[in-house]
Amino acid sequence: MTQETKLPVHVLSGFLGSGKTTLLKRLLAGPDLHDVALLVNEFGEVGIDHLLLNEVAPDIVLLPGGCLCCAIRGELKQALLDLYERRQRDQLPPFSKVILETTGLADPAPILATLLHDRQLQHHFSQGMLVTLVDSEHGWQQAEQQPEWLAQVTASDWLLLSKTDRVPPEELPALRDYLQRLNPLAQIAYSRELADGDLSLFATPFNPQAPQRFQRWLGEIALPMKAPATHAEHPVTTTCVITFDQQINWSAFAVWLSMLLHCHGQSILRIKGLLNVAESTTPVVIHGVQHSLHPPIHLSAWPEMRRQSQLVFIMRGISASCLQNAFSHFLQPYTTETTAAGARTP
Amino acid sequence: MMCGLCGLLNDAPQWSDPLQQQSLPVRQLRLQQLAVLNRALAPFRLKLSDVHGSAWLLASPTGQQQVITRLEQLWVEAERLLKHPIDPLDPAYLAALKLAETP
Repeated sequence: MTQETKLPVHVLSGFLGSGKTTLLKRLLAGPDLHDVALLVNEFGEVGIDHLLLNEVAPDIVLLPGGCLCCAIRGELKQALLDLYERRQRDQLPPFSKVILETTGLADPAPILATLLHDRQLQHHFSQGMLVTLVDSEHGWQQAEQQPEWLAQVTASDWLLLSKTDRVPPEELPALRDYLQRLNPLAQIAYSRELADGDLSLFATPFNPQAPQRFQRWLGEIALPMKAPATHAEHPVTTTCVITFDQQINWSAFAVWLSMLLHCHGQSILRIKGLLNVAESTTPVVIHGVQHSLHPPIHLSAWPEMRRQSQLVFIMRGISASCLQNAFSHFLQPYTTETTAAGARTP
Repeated sequence: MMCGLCGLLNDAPQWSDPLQQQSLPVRQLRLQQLAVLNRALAPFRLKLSDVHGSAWLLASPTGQQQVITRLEQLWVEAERLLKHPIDPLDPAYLAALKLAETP
């Protein structure tokens, strides 16, 4: 099976009570229901989510055993393989994507690791978009008190603000700004603005026909026209953007990044970037969450931006200058020019 | 997966594998990767050598050896031999890296 025909597994996360089930019901209200297989996770003794969603989508597999963490990665694997097998046997409609609703307490990294590292799943499934709902009413409190909330928010491609009717409208921009600084790579929207049946959240960013979608996925922070700020303070995370014009040797970069993730994977919450790799005329996209890195993706052409490598790291407890220094020291000999790489901290 | 001829274990593709699009032969890409790894390990006096183009052999200065099949495994085994973490952000490591390159 080729990369193109792998079924994307999109992850919908969000802290307890953030409205994941409500959103899913709305999104799956469209006519393309049979295009989507849904995996929900039971939390607690009673599968309340299952009862709610059963009327919406018939292709639900309920994951037993509570939280989707490392301990039940095998169950996630089995649930996905069961889905695939039933699809192959025509017991299910030929769905083209899977949406996995996590529990409110799930860290997305082990889920992504399961998708990326399991040899059976690798053949049939690919990692899709990670969408996280943020409860507007309790977002501030959860940001301060819940590490799971932080893991979900920093890993996400999309952040959707829910329950916006429960807070004064003038307070929303502050929360939105806070989230944008926490995860500058994410696109942010209000869940109320999504139309019923609108599954565009789960559209793959790597479509050669839609380079602007990739640009959005890469994040506003990497837009070349955006003036780089020189300093930023955030109580929780640090974002480091490394840009360089030289071509870089892929093997050297991979060795350095592998070493970095082995030692500091827990502190590197999110990585995204595109690289100008030596001996390849097209850019290579990398992205990952904590220890889990997606296989590099070759784009067919450069997006509408300068032909420049851009790497974005969202980190906890690592300074941007420290990362930049290590990057330059290690990789300087493996770039085709001798000028130093430049970093900016948004 | 095990090779029937040499008995070496061959793991699934890793994100850090040499890129297939590059024009160099796979063997040469692998040697290039080996050179980078040996530079990274030099400050710790560890040495890596190729085994049949499908695995590596990690050797410590005291003669301890370990077969490595994946990059992630390399760091785990190297730390086990060294009995301390390998931190690419450590200023002492970066200084040692620079010192090792000084003629």
